[in-house]
Amino acid sequence: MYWLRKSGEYLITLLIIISINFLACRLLPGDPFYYLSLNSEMGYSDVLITEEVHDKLMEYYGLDLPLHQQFFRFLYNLAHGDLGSSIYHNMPVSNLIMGALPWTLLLMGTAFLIATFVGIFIGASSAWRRDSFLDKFALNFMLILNRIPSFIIAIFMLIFLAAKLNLFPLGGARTPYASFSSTFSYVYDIVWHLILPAITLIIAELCHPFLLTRNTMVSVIKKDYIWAAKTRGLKDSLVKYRYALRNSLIPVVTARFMRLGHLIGGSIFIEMVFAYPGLGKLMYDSLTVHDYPVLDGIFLILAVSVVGANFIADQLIHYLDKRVGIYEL
Amino acid sequence: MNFRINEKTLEIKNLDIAYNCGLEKFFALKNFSIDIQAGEILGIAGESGSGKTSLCKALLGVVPGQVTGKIVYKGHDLLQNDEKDWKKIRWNEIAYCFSSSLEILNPSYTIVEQMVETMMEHKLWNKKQAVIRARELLSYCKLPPEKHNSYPVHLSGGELQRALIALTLVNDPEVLVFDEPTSGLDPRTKKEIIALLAQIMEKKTGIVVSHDFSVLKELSRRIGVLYSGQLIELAESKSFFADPRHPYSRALYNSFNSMETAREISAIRGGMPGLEECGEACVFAGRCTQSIEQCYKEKPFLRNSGDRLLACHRGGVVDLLQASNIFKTYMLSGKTFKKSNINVLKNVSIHIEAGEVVCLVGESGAGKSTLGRIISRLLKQDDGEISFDTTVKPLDVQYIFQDPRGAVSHRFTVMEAVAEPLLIRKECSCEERKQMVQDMLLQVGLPADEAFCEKHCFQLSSGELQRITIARALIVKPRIVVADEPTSNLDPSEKARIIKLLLSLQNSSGMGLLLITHDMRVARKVSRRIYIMREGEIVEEGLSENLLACSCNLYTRELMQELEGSLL
Repeated sequence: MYWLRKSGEYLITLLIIISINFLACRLLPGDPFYYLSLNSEMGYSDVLITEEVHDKLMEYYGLDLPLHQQFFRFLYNLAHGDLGSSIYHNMPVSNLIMGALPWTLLLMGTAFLIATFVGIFIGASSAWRRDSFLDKFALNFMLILNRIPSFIIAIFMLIFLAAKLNLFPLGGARTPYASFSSTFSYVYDIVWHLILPAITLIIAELCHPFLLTRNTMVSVIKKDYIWAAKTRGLKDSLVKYRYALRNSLIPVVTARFMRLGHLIGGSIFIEMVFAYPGLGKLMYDSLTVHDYPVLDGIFLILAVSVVGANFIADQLIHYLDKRVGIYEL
Repeated sequence: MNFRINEKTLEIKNLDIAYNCGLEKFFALKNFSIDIQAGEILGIAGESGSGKTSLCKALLGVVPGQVTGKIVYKGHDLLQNDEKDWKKIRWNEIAYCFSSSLEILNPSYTIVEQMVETMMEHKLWNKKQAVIRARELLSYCKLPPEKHNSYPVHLSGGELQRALIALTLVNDPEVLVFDEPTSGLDPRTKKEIIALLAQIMEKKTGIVVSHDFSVLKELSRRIGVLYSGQLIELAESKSFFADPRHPYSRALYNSFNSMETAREISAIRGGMPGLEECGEACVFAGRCTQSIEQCYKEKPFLRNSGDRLLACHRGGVVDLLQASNIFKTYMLSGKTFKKSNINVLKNVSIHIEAGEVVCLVGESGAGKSTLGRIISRLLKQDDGEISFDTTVKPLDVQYIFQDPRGAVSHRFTVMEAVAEPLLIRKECSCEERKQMVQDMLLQVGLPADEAFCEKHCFQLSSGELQRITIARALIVKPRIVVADEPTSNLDPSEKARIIKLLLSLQNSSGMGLLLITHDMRVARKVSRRIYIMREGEIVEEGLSENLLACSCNLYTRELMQELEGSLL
């Protein structure tokens, strides 16, 4: 019963997100062929698109139909596992997404994990030594860091570490057209390309787990079981991690997973600046040319992953907070 | 475990605990000294905020403030310990059992896990042994086996308390400190927990801290009373519960609700001050019913006073009035009768302590009113002595008459009637007087407006008039009030209201009240002590709970039997 209700809830959430996304990109002024015709008029394109051709293309892609019919057709195709094909790239959307998704997963996953663990660790240390120099320094430093837009950090990174010092590549996810002697050197190349965008994303994200952990733990430290643990002669590190941090994690975990959606927004900029071939960049490119099917596909993937993250958060809370279960009857 | 006689396990000397509150320093405990013998259980009583928990925390070195003084455990001063030494003491030598009403256990781990963790920390057992021992101890504390692996949130208050007690025992410490071990528990669970604690404490030295006297009575051999961070009374449990001597201990004991008495619980007037506010004064002076000038100037120290130690300049609760061996004879003379004598009072002794409600119960003609009048100096005794406490001045004894219509001239207006005692004293100006009268009228539950003040006494109802006589008696702020059947002429609801009023005024002013009544039902509801009078003699006296529960006097039992099951 519980699972039935839960999955129903998630399905409805997903459906609402998909419909909003579907509508949102179609309500933008213009259409995919408008830009093609614009380009051709201005001499950017070799293809000349007349009014007639434009209408034909609209009809071919089914874009002349009323919105609700388009929506149902989209849902129908989706139910059959078909995401459609890209208007701009002229290839199946699923192929496009599958090409970009691993890179995004790699970049976001790395940044998300490192930012979360480092943030929680610094936050816990900061809260444990509240009002000490270390705590004040960490707090102010994080707040300043948090206020710098991520793309500015990205640009600085590019200018100094990549362009000037030449330590890291300027963009991309791997060296183009290179052949690698071993798997190791291939992995090394990928990591080498990953470092700058990942660090930028980590810096942009670090403040969130830090602040949340610090603030929650500061209030948990005042609980009776903390000093009671000390009276039992338990050593500080044990009290700090098993008592204080363990009981501060619940809101942190929830918030981190909910933050995933935000992280995707942040990664679009960073993928743009570093020309990293992930979903963010694909989304941006598709948006500029009004490539509806690709956008629909990307939004679907994002919605599923955000809802999935929430689901994981929900399950983790059950594991972390022993009190959750007893109120749910 | 065998204890050497008089071997001191814990010696606390001049312990001060202070917390910083902004720039100000706030003392939770000041100049606290006590010895605890091996195998002894010491009870510490006191209200919330009296410094009990700070004391317990100091014994384990977890006070977040500054601690000065000495805590000598087996010849070694614990306050000299560094954190490493403390860790050896904590739980291995001294363990602290917390109240289950606090969130003491980590909500994320099971009970057994937390017990094992504590054992492993001190490296006395390996993990397997620790788990077995934890389960054994939990079973010993009567926590059902299926609950051993529960998380703290899944346990009830009583079960949690059992788990906490078991947790205290894991490293087999010598000294156990119990902080409110039964707070928030229902009576049955409380009883079981007390029995369990008694069983455990047989082999240990302990401190039990509680505001619940029933726990202390069951468990401890000696009782110390803490008030605002100072120890004010220290006595053997038996003598303490027979007669708490410090005015605060007495008042605290009276506020405690027990099954032994039908008496209404009475709160202590005022609130507990901080140690700083008192300066050099006695900490309890502001709420005390018998404070003298010295109490506001000097701090009392713990001194020997008979069978106990007391910190009171007055040596504990004083007798406001002591009347001993009073004789009174009325001469009857008439034309038709021969001269004859009626012995109204025969060798009567009575005393009233500060802040106490005493009832004088007996049939009409027993001599109750005569005794009341002699005490109020309205009549002179033939023989015997009446002595008053030094703080009681002649006008400090007031009398409330049975018949209000006879007691107040019907020609007086309300204002005149209530202001009369002040006029006699000639102490204050006309304006002040008016203000005092109006305040007093409000206190006794009458309107204080002009129209009411100008009413004549004959226009008032009996109930209103009785309130006027009460106001008249209390306006001079008496130390002792003798109320002679103040409710006998009133209807039941007015009766209840007047009794309630008298009690609340007694509580707020702290005066001694002698209530003369023939109604045992009233007496058992209001009084701390009861005197039973018959034909000019006191036939029985005692604390109301003892007297009502197990009177061996035939007359007293007769009086009570008459009332049993009757609405008379």
